[in-house]
Amino acid sequence: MKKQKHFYHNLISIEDIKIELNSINLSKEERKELHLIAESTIHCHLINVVLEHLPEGDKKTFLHHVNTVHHKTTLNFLKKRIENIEDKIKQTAESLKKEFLEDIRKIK
Amino acid sequence: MPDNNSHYHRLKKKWLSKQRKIEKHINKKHGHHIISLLPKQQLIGGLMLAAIPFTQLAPSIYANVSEDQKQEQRHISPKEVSVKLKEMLPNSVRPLISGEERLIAEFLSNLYHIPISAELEGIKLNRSYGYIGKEQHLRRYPGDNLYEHFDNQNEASLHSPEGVAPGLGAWGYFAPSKEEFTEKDKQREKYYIAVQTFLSPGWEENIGRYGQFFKYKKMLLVNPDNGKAIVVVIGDAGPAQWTGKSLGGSPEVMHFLERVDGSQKGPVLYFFINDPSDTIPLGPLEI
Repeated sequence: MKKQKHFYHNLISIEDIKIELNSINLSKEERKELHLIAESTIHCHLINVVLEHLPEGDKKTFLHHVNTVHHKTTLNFLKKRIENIEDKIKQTAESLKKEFLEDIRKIK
Repeated sequence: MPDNNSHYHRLKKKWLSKQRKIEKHINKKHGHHIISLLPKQQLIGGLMLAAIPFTQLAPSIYANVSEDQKQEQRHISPKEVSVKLKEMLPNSVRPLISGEERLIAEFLSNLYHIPISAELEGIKLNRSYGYIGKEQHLRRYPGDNLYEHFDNQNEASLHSPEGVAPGLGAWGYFAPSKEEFTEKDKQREKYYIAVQTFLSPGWEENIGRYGQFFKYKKMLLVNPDNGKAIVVVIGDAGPAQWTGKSLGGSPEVMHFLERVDGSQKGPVLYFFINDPSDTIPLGPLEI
């Protein structure tokens, strides 16, 4: 199944989590599931960052379009309404990624 | 030497907790925006909730009940169940958003060790949390009458006042004749609910398929005010939308859940049970 992309897919990468999960002894299914949980959690946090900064009147529009394929349009919409939204997305994702990586390293 | 499998369980437990935390936060802070999109989504049937971010969460995450979670929730009283449910439910009785449904379904699945979900085989009801009203008994086979329904005088005095509905249920008689009437048919009428099948997203385009899907489909019903839970089947369609109620329960179901009709009516949670082998018995559940 083709992986679904989002408005932030050009700004962040969570490949590091996949690589770190590969370094511990897990079955293919376990690895896939853990990666999916991390990915979903980061997705929720990024949705939250946007909702926290968007003006009230624009929240519904954003939620309505968040899962469409028009990622560029969605990101442009956000860039016009939230100052430095790209940095905010990157910082949030980086900080979460760090947490997930630390969790993996701790159990090694 | 560390157990590799424990790596998986430890990470899963920790990460699911992180995920639930942010989901709860979004539901609490922005749920009203998400819920405001629902009517628009319902208009386009099967695409309901397509725009809601929570659909990105994989159902498989919730389908696997870890042993740790089972242990954590093994000893819990109905009163504690009620407290936990209240923490997850909105203040008003409204349709739950996808994230709320997932959290509650996960909690109840773990608690009763029954796989439940708001959506099964791609089909959803119009809601999973709503006011329940009292239904009448249904005729189970041609020639059935009220007093045939009960095993003893106590049952008769408790459950006969509601009487028998003048018409048949949405799928007709439970058995074609008294001779072919089985214990399974009896249990189905005893523990039946009526749900608004006709309001399920995609109903009009798929009446035949949806009708077959809903017929005697098992559901878990929970009264969030007392934590009582019961396994039931969908035995009829209703009630009408104008009643302000979202589903109806047989006299036995209502009695067990301690729910009443009229001005004192209250809400219940209702989720599909995935039981293709038909191994989960109908009736009240013990924790």
